[in-house]
Amino acid sequence: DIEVTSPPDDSISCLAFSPPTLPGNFLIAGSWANDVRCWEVQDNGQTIPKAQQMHTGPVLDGCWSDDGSKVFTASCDKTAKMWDLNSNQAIQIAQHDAPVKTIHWIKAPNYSCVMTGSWDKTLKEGHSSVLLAQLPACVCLFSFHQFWDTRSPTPMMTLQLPERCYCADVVSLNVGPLERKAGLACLYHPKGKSAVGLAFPYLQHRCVAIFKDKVNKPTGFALGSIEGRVAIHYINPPNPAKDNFTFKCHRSNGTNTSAPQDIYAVNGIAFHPVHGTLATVGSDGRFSFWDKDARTKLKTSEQLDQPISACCFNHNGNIFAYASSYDWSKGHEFYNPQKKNYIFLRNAAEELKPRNKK
Amino acid sequence: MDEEKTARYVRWVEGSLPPQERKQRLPRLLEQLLKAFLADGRYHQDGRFVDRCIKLAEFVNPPCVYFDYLCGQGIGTTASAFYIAWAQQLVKEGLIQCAVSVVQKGLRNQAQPQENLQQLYCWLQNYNPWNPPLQGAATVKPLQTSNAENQISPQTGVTLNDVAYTCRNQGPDSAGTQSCSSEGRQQVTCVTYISKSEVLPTSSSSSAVECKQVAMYDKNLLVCEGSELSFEELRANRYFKKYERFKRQKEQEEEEKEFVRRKEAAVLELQALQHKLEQLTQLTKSLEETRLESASTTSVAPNKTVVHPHVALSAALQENRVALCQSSGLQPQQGPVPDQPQSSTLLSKSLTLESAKPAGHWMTSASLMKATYRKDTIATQRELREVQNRLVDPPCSNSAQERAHSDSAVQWSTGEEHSKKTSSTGLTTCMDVEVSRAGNASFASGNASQATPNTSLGGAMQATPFKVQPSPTVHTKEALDHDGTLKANVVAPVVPVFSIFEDEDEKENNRIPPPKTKTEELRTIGERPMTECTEEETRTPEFLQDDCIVWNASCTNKTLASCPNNTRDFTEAARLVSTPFSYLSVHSRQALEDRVSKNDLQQMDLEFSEELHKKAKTKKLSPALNLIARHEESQGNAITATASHKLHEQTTNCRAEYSLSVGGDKTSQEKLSGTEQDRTARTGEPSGSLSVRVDCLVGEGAFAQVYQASVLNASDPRNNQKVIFKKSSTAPKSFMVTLNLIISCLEKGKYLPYVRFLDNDTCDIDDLSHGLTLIDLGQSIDMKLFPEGTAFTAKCETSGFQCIEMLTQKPWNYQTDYFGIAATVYCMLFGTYMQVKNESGTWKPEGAFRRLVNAELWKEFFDIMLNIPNCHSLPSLTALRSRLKDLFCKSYAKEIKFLRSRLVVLLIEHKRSRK
Repeated sequence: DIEVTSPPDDSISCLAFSPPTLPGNFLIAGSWANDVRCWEVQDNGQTIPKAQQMHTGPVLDGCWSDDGSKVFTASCDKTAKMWDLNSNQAIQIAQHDAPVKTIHWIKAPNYSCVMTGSWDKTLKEGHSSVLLAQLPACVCLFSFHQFWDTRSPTPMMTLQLPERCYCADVVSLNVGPLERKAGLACLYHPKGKSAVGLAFPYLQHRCVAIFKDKVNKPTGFALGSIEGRVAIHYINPPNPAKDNFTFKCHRSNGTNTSAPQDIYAVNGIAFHPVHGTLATVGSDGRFSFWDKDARTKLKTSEQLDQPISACCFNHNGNIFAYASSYDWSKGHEFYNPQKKNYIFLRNAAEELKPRNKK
Repeated sequence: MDEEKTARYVRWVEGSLPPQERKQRLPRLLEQLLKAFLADGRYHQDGRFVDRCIKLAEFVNPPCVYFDYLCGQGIGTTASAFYIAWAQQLVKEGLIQCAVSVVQKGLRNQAQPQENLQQLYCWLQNYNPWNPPLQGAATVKPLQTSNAENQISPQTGVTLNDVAYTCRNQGPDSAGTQSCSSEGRQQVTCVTYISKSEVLPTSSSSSAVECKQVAMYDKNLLVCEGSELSFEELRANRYFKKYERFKRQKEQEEEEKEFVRRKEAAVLELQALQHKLEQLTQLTKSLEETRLESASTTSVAPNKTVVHPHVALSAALQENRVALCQSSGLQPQQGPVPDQPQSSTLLSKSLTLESAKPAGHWMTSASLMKATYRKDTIATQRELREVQNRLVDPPCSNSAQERAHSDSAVQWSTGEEHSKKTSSTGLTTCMDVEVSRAGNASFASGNASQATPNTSLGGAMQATPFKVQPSPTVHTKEALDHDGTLKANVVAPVVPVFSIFEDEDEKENNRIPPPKTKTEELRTIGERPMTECTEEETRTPEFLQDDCIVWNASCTNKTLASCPNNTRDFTEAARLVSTPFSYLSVHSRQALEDRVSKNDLQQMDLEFSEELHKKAKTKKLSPALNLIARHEESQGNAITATASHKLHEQTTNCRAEYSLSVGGDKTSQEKLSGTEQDRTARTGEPSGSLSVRVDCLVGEGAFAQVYQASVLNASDPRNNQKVIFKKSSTAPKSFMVTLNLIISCLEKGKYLPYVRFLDNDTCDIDDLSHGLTLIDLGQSIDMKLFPEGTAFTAKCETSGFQCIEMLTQKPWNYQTDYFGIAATVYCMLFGTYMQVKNESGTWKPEGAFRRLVNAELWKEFFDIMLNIPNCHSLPSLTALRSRLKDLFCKSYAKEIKFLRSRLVVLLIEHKRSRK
């Protein structure tokens, strides 16, 4: 795989490719070194560092605007910023009372906004009901999300969540407002060990990704847990008991051996934009490709010496990017600041094709 | 700030104190907290604050009244917890109906979270008096948990396949309801909670079946109260801890810095005090010496001047312990004086008669007047001895006390201050107090002007009181070189009379611990009058103090000498305005100075005569002295001069020129102006004159000294405006004066104006407290003294200050100002003095502008400032200024506070490095 030049100096928390509206591919990566970097990815896979912006705290998430002109970043400094790539200016667009864990750009026909999810639990009153009216499903919101009009310092709407927001995903589609075609999934961690979870009653959720059906309509989401399991979850499925399922991943060895199985956290899930297959990355330092429809594994990578902390596909699914860096799964003790962090690019055009067409 | 602290303290008390102690302290604390935040409407709905308020209710009796009060104040009106607590209290008291109305009120106000209120409301509705009453806080919990009943049936898309599961998941669900209610009903429908647990049983069962699994993450690390952390949270926690530590460390460092700064200030103050003390001790010594010497002089040449006896007399009076024999001839006269005020008058008369010799007749009489006025021999002695300096002299009073003379005025004086090491601050205060008590208002003003600080040098001088030699300082030399007349004057003959001045110096020393440089400088000034005084004495012995007009009319410039104190100030004043004069002939300059001094003299005289006629007039207490009396106590600072001060500003050429003239008394000032028209032209309207108290020498360049002074404001003596004036000994200027000035200010612990300077975070460029303010451009000519359109061809000596026109031998007028501005700007940009070069007909400063911020603008700036077509087409400074100002405001408005702090830090560092 091709290594991205000038990777961040600390753990990489997020990766995101530019939307199709931009010619070429640009990759952003947020890191615990408080920065978010942008590379241009050429067709041959070579990367050219383009620019970088700083937060005053580690960057936890990042996303692009639909036109590719802006990058939004969420940070431990409790703010979210909008980075205008044309002017290379970054301005703060959101303020939370705790680190901002997730950020998503929401584009709907009559408005656009940014959704941030934070570890704070403060209630903030919103004043817009438009947004929620168009969201088909808020998947169990346990933390606190805010929807920011990027031009206004106050959130358009605030959802109070009883718990901290751990992961979220949004899919927005340019369809009529009443069709409620945008999808939203936000995840949280349950209080204590009580089984609030969806698919994993006792497990912490680490990542979520919405998937769409053949007509590009969001139909469900995949949820990654802290202990080597991913749940595929349909919204309003015809047959819930049959359609929803979980699968194990990121584990050391097969169940048939007598040795205890090492199970690792699923750090990231990404759906292939064309094939609808998905990739998962884990603390075990591997990435795997799956076909949820066929319920089969497409590929598992070699093990890297570090966890894979984030992954993403580019807009046409040709490039799969994944970041190799410590995810803090074993705490500070196992953190080696000297260890280099990598971002790798992989040609994903073929590997993620479903094998058996149904 | 304070509120924050209180809040934090409360948190601490609640969190970390043992319950017993907490119980004791909490009520008071909470009360404080309530008081602190009550006024601040922002906190009225703050949950933490409301909680505290509710808590306080436990300690308030009766609590319901307190709740009512809180409600009236608008505290917690939107918090259901507040209404619940209130209602519970009412229920406890059996007032169910009241409780119901309270809850209703809460519901009306849409207090959040509403569920709890509704619960309580339902409960109250069904309240059965036979039911056990509610028990305190316990009620709240059940209410919350009873949310379960409130659970709405599953919403669309939600499949609950496990009832038990729902129950267990009370928390999130209820919270979900909360969010819905808070966001309004329409939104509720949209929030879809999906509890898809279809897979749950299988997954859990399968995992149970599975062989041993080892989670490859550290579960223990993730454990946190009632929840589990994500890896990111874990890491973020660590990050924040680190960050906090770093921040605290930084804060500590800041505090330490601040502490060091304060300590330094304290040390400086201490040094100043010690210095004063030293001076006092020295003074005591020298006093003794003086006494001895004067005594010997008397014995050697008893008839030389009248002053001798006086000196001897006073000395003898002051020193009880040492032999009185030397001035024995005069001693008998004193005998009766101390106890009989009237005899003192007699004495003074006789003394006046005796002093009908050239020895500054008027002085004697002046002092005599005072003596009469005071009805105090000691005062008389003092007067005689001090002549000019009517300020009460501590050693003097000291001796007075020793003599146990019943002098009402004496009581203030801490008799043995110097020996007791009492702080000189107190001393100064005492003196001032004394003066005012004595009611010698006009004298006091005289005093004020005399209060020239002196240093230990003065003490050295006093050891040889009769050898009044000009102490050559750099400034003196320069002054001499530039002014022949002055030079001539400065050569002070050794005349016994000067012993008086020496004494005076001593006195000054007594009062003030000024910097050395200043002493030298002042002495230089002081010497000249002495010389003149002698001449004066010989020439105009017949002039008496009463008739000021006559006296004034006839007095030559020499007269000023007879009023040395004033003269001193005048000399100073004259020098202050020296810049404009430097281009005049020596003669005219001298003349001007003379005029100034004349004025001064006149004032003094006026005061005397007034004194004679209206002795009891207390209103004569000059504002200056008044002020001193009331203010110096805190500072222990010296009063160097009382001077009227007029600022001339020629806005067109940015020239600021300060002229100072002596005179604290407005009445006399007015009278003055009547007689001297041309002077008024220079000093401006008499009403525009100001009384200025020179506080200290704050900076010194090669050619000038800069003083900090206070504009005395009689109506508001506590709020003196600080002014800075520069006194150049020669025409040339030093660009760095301003900077030095601030440094010295900091050095001397004069933070006051600068504190304000730091606090001011606005970016008003016209605000003088903004930052460094350039007080002059070095060279200046008072263009009003010349016909309009005058241009000059002369050049100043210092090549660095020669403007382009001077260099190219062209006529110039305001070009020198433009050049001065450019040179100053250059100096600030590059840190060196500006050198100019001519590049293909355009004058440019040396140095590369490429690396400068805003290089283009500066380039243009210098191009404009240095290339002035001719005397009649001067570039518009206003336009340039507005451009610079715009740029400044644009680029630095946000940073100005930081920059100010930086400046102060730099200055402090600079000060340190100079040490």
